[in-house]
Amino acid sequence: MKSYDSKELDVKVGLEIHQQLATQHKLFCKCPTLQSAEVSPGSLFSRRLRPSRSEIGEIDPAARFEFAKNRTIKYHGRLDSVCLVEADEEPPHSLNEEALEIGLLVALSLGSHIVDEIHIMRKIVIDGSNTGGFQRTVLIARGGELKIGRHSIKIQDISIEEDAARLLNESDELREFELDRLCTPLIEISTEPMSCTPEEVKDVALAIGRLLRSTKRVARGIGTIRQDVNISVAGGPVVEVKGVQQIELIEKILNYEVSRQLALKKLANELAKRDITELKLGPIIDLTNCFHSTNSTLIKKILGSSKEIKGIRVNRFKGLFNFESESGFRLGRELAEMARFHGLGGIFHSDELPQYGISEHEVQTVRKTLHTEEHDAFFLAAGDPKVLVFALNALQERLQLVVIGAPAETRATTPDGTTKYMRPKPGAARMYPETDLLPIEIQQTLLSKLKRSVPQPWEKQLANYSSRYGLSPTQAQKIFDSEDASLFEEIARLTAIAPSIVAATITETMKDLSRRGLNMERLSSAIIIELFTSLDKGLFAKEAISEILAVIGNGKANDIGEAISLLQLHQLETGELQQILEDVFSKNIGIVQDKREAAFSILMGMIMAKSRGRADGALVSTLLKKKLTEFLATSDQVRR
Amino acid sequence: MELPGYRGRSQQLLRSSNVAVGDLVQVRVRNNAYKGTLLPRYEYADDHHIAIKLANGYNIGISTNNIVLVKRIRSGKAPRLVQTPLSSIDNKLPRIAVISTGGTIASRIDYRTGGVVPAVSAADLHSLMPELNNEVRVESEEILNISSENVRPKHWTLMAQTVEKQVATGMNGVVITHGTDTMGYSAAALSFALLGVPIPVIFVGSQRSSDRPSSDANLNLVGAARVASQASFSGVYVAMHIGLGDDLLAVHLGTRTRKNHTSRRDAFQSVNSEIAATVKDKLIEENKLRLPRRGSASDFQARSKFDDRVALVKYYPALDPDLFEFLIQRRIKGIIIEGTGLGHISADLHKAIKTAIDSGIVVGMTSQCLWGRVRMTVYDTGRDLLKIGVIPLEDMLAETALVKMMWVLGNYKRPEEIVSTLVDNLAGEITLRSPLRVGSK
Repeated sequence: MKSYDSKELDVKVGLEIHQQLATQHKLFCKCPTLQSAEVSPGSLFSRRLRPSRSEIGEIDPAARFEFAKNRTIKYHGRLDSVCLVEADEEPPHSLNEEALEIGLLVALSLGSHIVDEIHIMRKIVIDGSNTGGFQRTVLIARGGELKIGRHSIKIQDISIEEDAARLLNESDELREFELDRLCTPLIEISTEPMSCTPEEVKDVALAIGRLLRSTKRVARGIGTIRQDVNISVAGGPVVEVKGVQQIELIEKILNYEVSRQLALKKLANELAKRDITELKLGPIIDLTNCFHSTNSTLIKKILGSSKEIKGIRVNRFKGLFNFESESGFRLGRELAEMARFHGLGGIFHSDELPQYGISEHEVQTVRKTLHTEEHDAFFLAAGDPKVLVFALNALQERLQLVVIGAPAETRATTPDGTTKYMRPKPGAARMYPETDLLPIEIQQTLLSKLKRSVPQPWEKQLANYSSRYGLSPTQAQKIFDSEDASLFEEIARLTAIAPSIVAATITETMKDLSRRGLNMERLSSAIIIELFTSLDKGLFAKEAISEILAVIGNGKANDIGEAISLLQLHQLETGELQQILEDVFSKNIGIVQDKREAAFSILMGMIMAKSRGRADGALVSTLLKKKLTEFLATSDQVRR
Repeated sequence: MELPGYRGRSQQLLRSSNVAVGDLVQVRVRNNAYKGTLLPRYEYADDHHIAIKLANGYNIGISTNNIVLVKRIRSGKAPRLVQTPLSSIDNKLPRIAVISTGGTIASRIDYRTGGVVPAVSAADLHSLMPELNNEVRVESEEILNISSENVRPKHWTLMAQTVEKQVATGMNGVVITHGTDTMGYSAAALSFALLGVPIPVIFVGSQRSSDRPSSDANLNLVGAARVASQASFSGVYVAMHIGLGDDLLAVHLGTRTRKNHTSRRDAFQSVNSEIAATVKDKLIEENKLRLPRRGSASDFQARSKFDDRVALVKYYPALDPDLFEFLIQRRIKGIIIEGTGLGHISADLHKAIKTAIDSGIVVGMTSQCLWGRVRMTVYDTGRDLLKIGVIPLEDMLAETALVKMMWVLGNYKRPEEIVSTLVDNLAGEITLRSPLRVGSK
């Protein structure tokens, strides 16, 4: 992947790693930290969140917009993992001490300054992902550093916070969430802004992930670790990109975001060249009448659904909506994204019109109505009267920021590694104290106790791992980094199977099966454990592992027992095996006579193929070797 | 120098450093330094930490043991509440008075300090309830700013007199914001004091603090304002959530409602009575309770006296008869007993109760079952108590009976009048018929 030069462009990247903790209970109640991929049937309750009173008078367009949309939020949940606290119907219980301890352990291992007295805060989020309209968070430590090879990464803050509810689906009127994940303890580690390559950033994320896993007290599995990336280019404002679930995407996102910010910077430079330091925009003007006899099917459709069309003049902006950077980025796209965020279908701008069936005549009428001069541009949008003005105001505000380049904002990641507008960047004002709980003094006695259990550095743990289980360093690292490390450890504890076989199955075989398109959800930890305990009992030969998992994965069998009978895999008795051996041997006596000892591997392959995984390779090898030696000895004797 | 909440070591340190709350300060500790705004210390906090708000919004406490130096970087500005200008409100709209007494419903948090400040100006209220701007004109009056556990009978008098005054100015309705803990008592008290009030008087509170976006305050307040301005009935009510969703509001009879949960937004329930009305969006739907209609303000007079020499005694198995002796000594004039079942109290106490009655104390019986009616002719115990002179109070809530006793003793002097008023249904507090189904029971 071609990537930018972080030094030359002065790219600064800060990482925020969020990792779920493996605590027994949630952060502020005694609900278990259960999570299922399912959606609970029926909704428990619904809510309307509004900007809290404290925010009135402050400009928080996202909060006000959410409220203006009059959206209802519906919550689903299971009665065994959701209580009144998650519903925000009961004050929070005391902070989960287990979570605090894990957080302090991590802080100690990073050499951070632990806060003397921690204060639980509320961070306002009114998109419904938190039932109360805020996320509880507590800063437990600042500073510290992480050594990665020659580099030393500076840590900014370490906080413990509650996870948000899972978004199930959303429409203009309704948002639905599943509550099981809500209030699960998270640790957030943020780094100071770093000036390094995308690859190095990825390494930092990986290293922090490893540090967290080395405590053995963090949750594993998909979605348990997420990173946010803060990016600024050439001293510009910081753009926060939220929710990078896969570490592999970090490089892609960084490249995309840097090129996006650069493109906006170039546009700003272009404006500077035109001597525009402040963008002048006209008022919002209704243009519905300009289209009363339109032939555009698109416009007809819009007007047919009782929507209005309004537009805004942009002074001296001609050609700049289509201003394109080398990377193919255009401002038009950025604005369309913003329009969609605010509930509109998109925008039309003067650089692309006439088009979409809109005639030159109509464009002229619009120009006249908006009073544009020769070098002026305009854009228009259609929508429900309720949201249209609000959205256009937001677009106006956004457009005014083009003179500074990429504005500070929060963006979301998309699965293809790009980013899209999510909301304005929250400021410090969105944080206020959790008035239901008292601050907590961190006791020195607790810290001294925890200091004794600070986990060993990752490299050391890895070395121990590889020697304890007899794994190669590469294999040990693969397992250690995988989501299934605890599964591996459990199997190693439960069975006498060589750990390298278990490791190979968990890493390579599973990856291979997933590539073959099998339903990996069917291959649960319980199935994998059963697989190895059955193998340990000698119910089948290890050569059949892949085949067994395949029939479970494709739904032909539901458990190991079924798979064994389906594949007729019952381990062959020594007698049966001997019979196959004799059979293969006699049919291929020519090869034996010809190749003598070298015939071993050929015959071995034939026998294994014939026994279709029902024979233990080691046993076949012993029997075959014996047979071969005896046969050659006898035939030599005969010849003599 | 302003250092609210600080004392002892931390106060000394801050004083000698010459800094005040609100200042941007640098705090140097042994091997680190923090920059932030000095915060006030919360009440009952220890004396060896100072609290600051960092630039990222987090608050932290720093131990005075670790502090090397506190230095002011910049003086703080006094916090200023942003007053939303009152947009022009159509003066043909109905007028309501919002009387605030305290509680969290009509207050907001000051971000800088984390403290709660009241927000009671009409402009504030309009900005809190933008959906009402085309429906009502709000006028506000703050008469108290206390938690509801601190509301005393004298405050009921103040509330009743304030309503009386507002009625005289031709208000279309009154909303009283109140802490929820004792809102049931206050609503019952005003139900009696404002008997015959010609407009709706709606008590409203919030269970979930109004500083949270999920607060129930807005639905409650908006609904209460709608009922006050638009309902065709009059009288004293409590408006609070039904269920956990933010869509349905109950209007409870002031004499029939009770806080039945510590924290849920639907904590208030009507006991032994249907809900008087429900509000969904703009629709006020009345149940068939034959509520009084709106009337003319000209001949309305409040009777707002309460005699607080009254006790509520909940029976429990170890209840000491001497308690009644103590009450007699304290010159208590009325006792409401919250008895068991149909209206009973252990025979061991009958003698003490008889002494109380003989000394002129009025004793009424309610049931700690909450639901149902007392009936004291069924068992010997009940019959004995009747014979002693205990007055059965039908299906009245114990709290309502207590408040009614205070009001009756404050406004009637002759014993027979006291008793007959006590058992008479004045404000929906007693029904003589027990329907098969009432509310959720």
